[in-house]
Amino acid sequence: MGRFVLRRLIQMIPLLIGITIITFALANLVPGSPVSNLELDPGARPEDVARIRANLGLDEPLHVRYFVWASNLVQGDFGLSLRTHRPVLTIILERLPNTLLLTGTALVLALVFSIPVGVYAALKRNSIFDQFATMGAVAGVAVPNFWLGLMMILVFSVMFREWGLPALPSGGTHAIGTGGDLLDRVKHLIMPAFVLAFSATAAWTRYIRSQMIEVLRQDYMRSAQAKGLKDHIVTFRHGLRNALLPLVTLMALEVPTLFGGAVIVETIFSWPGIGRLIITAASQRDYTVIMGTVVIVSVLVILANLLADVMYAVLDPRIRYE
Amino acid sequence: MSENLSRFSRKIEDEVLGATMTRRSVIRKGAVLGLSMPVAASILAACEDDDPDDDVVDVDDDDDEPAVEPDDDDEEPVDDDDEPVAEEDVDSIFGDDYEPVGNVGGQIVYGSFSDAATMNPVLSQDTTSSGIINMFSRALVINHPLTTEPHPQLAESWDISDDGIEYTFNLREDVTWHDGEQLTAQDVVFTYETHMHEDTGSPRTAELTDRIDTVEAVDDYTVQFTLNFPASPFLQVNCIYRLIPEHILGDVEPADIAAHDYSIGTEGVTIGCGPFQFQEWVSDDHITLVKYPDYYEGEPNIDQWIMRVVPDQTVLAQQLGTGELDVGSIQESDFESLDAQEHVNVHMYDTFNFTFYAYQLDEERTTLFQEPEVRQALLYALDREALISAIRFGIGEVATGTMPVPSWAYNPEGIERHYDYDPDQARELLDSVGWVEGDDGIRERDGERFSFEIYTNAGNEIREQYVAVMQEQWREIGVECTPQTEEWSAFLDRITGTRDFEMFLVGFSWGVDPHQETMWHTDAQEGGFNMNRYSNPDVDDLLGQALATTDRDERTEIYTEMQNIILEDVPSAILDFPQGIVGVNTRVHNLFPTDVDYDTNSSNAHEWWVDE
Repeated sequence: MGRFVLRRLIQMIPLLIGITIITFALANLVPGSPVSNLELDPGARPEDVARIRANLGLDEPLHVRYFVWASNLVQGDFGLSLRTHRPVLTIILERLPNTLLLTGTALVLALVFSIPVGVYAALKRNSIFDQFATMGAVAGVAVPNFWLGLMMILVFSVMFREWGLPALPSGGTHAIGTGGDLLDRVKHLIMPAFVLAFSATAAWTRYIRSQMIEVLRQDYMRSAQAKGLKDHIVTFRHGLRNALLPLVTLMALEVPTLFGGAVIVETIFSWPGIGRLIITAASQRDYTVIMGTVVIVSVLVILANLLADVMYAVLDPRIRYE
Repeated sequence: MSENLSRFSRKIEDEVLGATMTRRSVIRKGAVLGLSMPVAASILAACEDDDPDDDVVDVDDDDDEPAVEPDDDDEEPVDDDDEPVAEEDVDSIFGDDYEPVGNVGGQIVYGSFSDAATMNPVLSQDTTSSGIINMFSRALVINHPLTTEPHPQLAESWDISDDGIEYTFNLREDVTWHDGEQLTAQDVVFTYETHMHEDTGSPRTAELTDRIDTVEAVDDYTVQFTLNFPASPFLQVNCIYRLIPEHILGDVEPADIAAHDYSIGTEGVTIGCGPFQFQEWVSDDHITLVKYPDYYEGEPNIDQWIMRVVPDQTVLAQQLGTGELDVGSIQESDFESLDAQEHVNVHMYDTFNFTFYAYQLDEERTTLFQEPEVRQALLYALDREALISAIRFGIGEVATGTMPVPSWAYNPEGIERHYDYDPDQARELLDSVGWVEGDDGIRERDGERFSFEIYTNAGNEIREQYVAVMQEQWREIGVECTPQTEEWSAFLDRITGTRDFEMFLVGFSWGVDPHQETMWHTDAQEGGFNMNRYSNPDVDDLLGQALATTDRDERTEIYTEMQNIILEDVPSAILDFPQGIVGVNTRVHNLFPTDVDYDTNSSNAHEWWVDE
């Protein structure tokens, strides 16, 4: 097991090199540059634009710039943002906790909702509950994040306030001007986490339901029942555990999706996280920030996958890694 | 000035009432146009990166205030008579609109859809950064928010030598930096030297080095610029730059200034001499400024000012509604719902912005638009009233000439050719030059179909809708136009770099001065914004004349003549002049949005106050 993890960690290196080369090339080959807007500023003459470009090191050939960037990275130096001139790593580390809190909460919420609903729907197949759950799941997958977010703000922030009900704040991680106590932060977290969890919940509910139905048909379930085990033991210990196994993989695969969803949710709810950082950096061609976030997010995703594989071995004794 | 003010407020009232009236007709007109109100589309677009700061191109202006082209001689080259009069009562820049202070304390939260990039005025290139910097720092001179004339700020008075070479500024002696240090002429010298240093990263280095020979501190409170040649825009363009403190940055290597604590925002280091001082910047979240009690124009009324980043414009409008934000610019589509809120005053003001489309005149790219008849025909075929009421919810004006509404050279009476919606005339004009309808309803000539592509930037819902409706309307006169959208930076590269387009549509912003050389002069084909290669010697001549003329009325006449030529040639068609819309909570007083100092006019920020 230890060797397996080590091997996977070593495999990360060529993978990361590949990812960074591709991202670096794509980001730089797209038309436009960090000085694009200056080209339309008549106060800035062509020689100003050229000089600022050169000062930012953008005149060097692409491969030279990549090697400079990569060798700095190996020494732990992510460089400075081309826009704000702050260290990229600092910028990312400021945002990362916000995004992890948001996606983590969303993940937990999605699990808390989807497992019981999925299992119950499978046990009561074709009941009214099952049909509602299925309908809800289809709707949940179909509803776009941004729409749901705006509607929630409209209802819980705008209308609730008008009706004199306790309204939820429509953006930010905490009330500005205060440090933000726990209750305040929870209030700010509710809507974005819920929106982010929504589509995952829907997808997982369907998945768990079908997995569970599959498992319920298995021979070992029948033998367990025949042994005279109590129903709930059969359902939970033999059924649920087997049904949930593939969910571990699914969750690991869901991590990048959650990061993707965070881009939209963070924008709607003014949540200062990694998602918005990527979007802004990409639109401003802030190459160093783009590269920094890609590296960090890739590492997180790869680690999540590794964790899933390890978890798999822990949960399913039949699986052995050499 | 009070005359001006009443004109302004009347204007605002008219527009507010007008807009609500026309709102009902919007849907009707929209339906006529075959437009379904694209609600979902607008929500979707709102989620994309749709930052107006990034995608309104400032044609004439720098990051600070609207620019004045090298002809501006409205100023007598002698002592200006605009010096502040030492009066006992409050001498607000907003005159009669000033409301006596009813309360001291409290805070104002301002919403912005993009975050700042730097706190260093020398490096700032974007409107968000400059808007915040203007809250905590001050310049020698500002452009007056209402009259747009030069107005004293740190310089009490100035003197311009008769030959227009020497500018001498007398500084106020009561100005201190936020750490208590006295502001002196040396800081002015330092600021301009920093701007002019090659390694600093200022976008103004070339222009300033070109214009300025020397900048010297004559004594502690007198600073003298000697120019290389008379450059009349110098006062209103280059003397409005905000100052930086020498005692903080004097020892820093110019190349290191961008990453210095001062520039990235550090309490106690990032200091200015304005009414508010820097306290905190949590990137992509908020920036907090607190009042500077020793501000030279008097202690500010509010305790703190917070800029909050709200990247989604729809949410920004909703937060103005909920009171989470006090002040913020909104889009046309959010006007109605916000205006219905009793606790929000919605200010509308004329801007120097405009939407236009450009015909490619370079024969090597396309020969479609070589005849003026064709260019005129396409403009006649557009129902711009309907475009504005359907897409801008009636907030904006159909452009008559090329001059923006607030400009002193705005002279719609002098414009000869008016492009009122007239599809029949459009058809006649096209027939007259041999473009006749083919089998598929699209016009043809010598085997060539009248078909082209129009580019605009993706994510700007208004422009996307504009090109969609233009496609419909041109289709009706037998012209096929295919809209293409492209991400902003790539789009910029196309229109300014490769120039690979047949037509594009975008929004620009003129400077305060009406000298529109950068778009119409032949020399502006390279390095300017004459991106479609227009050239007319008559226009070049008139622009040259205007440069040498100091009298405003004469200049207005010259510009009117120039506009009449341009409206015959129609190298680019200016479609509309949109208006700025700013929501201000009724608890906020003395805050008057205009288009001169960003949207909120921080020149009188010390006078802002809020109800308890």
